[in-house]
Amino acid sequence: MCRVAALAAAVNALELLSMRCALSDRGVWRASLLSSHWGVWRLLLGARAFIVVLVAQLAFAVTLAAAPGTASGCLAAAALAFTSWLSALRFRGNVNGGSDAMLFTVLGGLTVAQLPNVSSVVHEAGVLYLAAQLTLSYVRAGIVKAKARRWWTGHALSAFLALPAYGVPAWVPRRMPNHLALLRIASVGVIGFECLAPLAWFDPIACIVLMVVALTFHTATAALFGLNRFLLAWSAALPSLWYAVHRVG
Amino acid sequence: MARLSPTLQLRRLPSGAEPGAWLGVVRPAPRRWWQLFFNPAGTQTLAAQTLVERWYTELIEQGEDAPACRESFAVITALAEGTLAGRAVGPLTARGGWQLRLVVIDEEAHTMEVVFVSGRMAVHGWPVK
Repeated sequence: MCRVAALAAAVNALELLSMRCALSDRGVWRASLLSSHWGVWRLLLGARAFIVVLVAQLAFAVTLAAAPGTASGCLAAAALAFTSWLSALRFRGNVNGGSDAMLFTVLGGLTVAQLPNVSSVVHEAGVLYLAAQLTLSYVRAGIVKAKARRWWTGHALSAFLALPAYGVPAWVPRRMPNHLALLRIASVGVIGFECLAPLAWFDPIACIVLMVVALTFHTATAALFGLNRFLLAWSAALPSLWYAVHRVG
Repeated sequence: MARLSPTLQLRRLPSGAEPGAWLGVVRPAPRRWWQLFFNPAGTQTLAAQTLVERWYTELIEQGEDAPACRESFAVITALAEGTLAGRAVGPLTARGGWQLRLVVIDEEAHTMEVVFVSGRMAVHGWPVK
């Protein structure tokens, strides 16, 4: 879990480093437009200083990957949570939707789970908190979709696939009514998977099935919508469910 | 009912000529297989769309004169200017202007709601006087 989280944090840092022109004084996310919300963190979020923060994030990611389950790993996870928060502040919210929030949650949970000189109950609490947040992320999304008739009919998925910003490959079926059955099956499948996620806490087989379905779901959203950060952040969180099913189930 | 996602568009307003066609501002490039794991261009595109969706929410919930909405509009203008500079949408001239708008397209109902249309902007984003 630590190594996947470290990979996710490293990819986030490398992607933002690749976007540094957009963060410069002439870019979209220029300091002059955003800095009124930065407060005391202004010193770390200017165009050049933020590059240093991102390089530090890479170094912390390497540390977490190299020393999981140690005090160094704990410090690295805490530092990565802090730099992830700084990135969110830099972008006046988040960079890429819920993936930033999930990675922050993962890093927070891993910090607690690696705290030195504390009871094992505290370590367990860190991982179980993460598993609970992961489950809630699915259930909450599932309930929102289940309450919307457009999701049951496949129209909401069709609309998302058609949105230019996602750059969905041209070969993907997305038209109503031509692909009605396929879109409806996919939509109902997603609602079912998300709403049934809590079952993974009570049975190891259900947990394995959910983890496989979840990985397939996140890989598909990365391929179709370009949500690669979601794939990495949720992949880092999924092993916590395996831990939870053996503590609770 | 699920809310549809908004789309940001711009067009050139050449002086003494017909306005250009409306073009999407947030346009992703085609993806390769390895971008399943590392996709800075896609992340930048999605971050730009997040800006658009936030501005849309602020417009609907707070109105265009709200301070947060004005801040968002400044960033959105920078986003559109970046597109304007990076894409061939007509000759850039000092006297030419441009315009942006925010629309919500419902492909199912074949309708388009125009949420916001800016005034004429100069090439560097300031309203033409």
